[in-house]
Amino acid sequence: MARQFDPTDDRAFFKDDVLPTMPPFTLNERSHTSAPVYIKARLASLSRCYWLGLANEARPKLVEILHGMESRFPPDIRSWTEGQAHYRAGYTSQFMWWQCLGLIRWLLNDDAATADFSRAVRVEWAGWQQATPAEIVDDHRDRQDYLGERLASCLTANEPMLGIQFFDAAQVRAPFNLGKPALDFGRWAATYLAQAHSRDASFVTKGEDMFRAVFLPFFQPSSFWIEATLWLKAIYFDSGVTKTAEETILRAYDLMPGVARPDFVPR
Amino acid sequence: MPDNEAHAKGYRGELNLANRIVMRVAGELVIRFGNKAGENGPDIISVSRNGQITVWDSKWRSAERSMTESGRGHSGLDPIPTLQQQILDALREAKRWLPPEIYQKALKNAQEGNFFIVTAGTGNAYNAVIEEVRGTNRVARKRAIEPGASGGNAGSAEKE
Repeated sequence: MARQFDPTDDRAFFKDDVLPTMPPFTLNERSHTSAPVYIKARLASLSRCYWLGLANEARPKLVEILHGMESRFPPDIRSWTEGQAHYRAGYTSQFMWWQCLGLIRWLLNDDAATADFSRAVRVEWAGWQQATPAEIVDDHRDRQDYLGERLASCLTANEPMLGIQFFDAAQVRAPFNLGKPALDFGRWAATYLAQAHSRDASFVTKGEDMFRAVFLPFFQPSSFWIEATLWLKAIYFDSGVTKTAEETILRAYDLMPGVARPDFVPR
Repeated sequence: MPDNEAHAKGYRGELNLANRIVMRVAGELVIRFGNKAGENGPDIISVSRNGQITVWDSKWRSAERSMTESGRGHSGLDPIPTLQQQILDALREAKRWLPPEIYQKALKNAQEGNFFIVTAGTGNAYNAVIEEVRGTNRVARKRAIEPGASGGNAGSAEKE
């Protein structure tokens, strides 16, 4: 079944069905170990609202999450018992926590939140370094599938050297992966920034080319909304081309060949 | 048909699994089937008559072997938020034909992050690993042995 992106239909679904039935946000009922995935799942829906011209509807719910996160500590890595949990469960949970915090601050306040993203990728990299050779083999698929999100996070954290390290450690073997151009761009961009280049016109143009090639065949049908959002932030907002989160995300509609510009996107 | 051998095996595995779901899990409605090669996402998403959601992954193996927990799909923490979005997409597409009461129950489960992940062996692999996700949290995992499959005959892949 071929699936085509229809932003108007998606908007109606979120406006009429998803947002009205979204359960109350109950962070206080969550354990420290389960909170990060819970927050990230909620954030995936709310960041998607920005793509659908529903930012005003999402904001109060994001404020609620932000207040909840600011009123408690991030998860303690020691909460995951060694030998009983996945080797990087605690680290990836903290990665998710800081990544979500950074993304929410950006979505709500147009704050680049570089420090939050930096904490995120540093702790995740520490987690990757805990793996035994056997765990690296077992984890290869997950590392590769979510490498793009790590690379985009490194760029938006202004941590290009870490981006290169993630790419090299993932040992990408994905000749048929439709998302591979994003990984290749991430590797190129991290190297470019690590060589003290700025996020100049060349950086933005290559980023746009990547996004044009990857969004419709891969990000959208795979529902990689958070990753796609992070790439747009790294390409447009962090380079100064755009000034707000909403403007940054709606720029995506300039990069979707064959998709009619929806009415909710200002010209 | 996919033009690559690995993708062709994957496609045959998905078809085989879809037929097994329809034949063996009574009343199950398949709401998404058939990813394009190279996309990320479950092979199949189905909904039961009471709105319970299951995402299915087929693991094609040439050698005869039973599915083990280490071979299961969508492990780790990263896939859960993405799977929830993929389930919402599948429900949006199925809304036109799903009975409204099933749609509403399934939407509630999707929003609350309640679903099952089943990794089923295809090709010469058999049996399955079932994981339960409640409130976006993985809470239970067990191996399921299909009737008639090699390796035993206790239990089944049917949901509670």
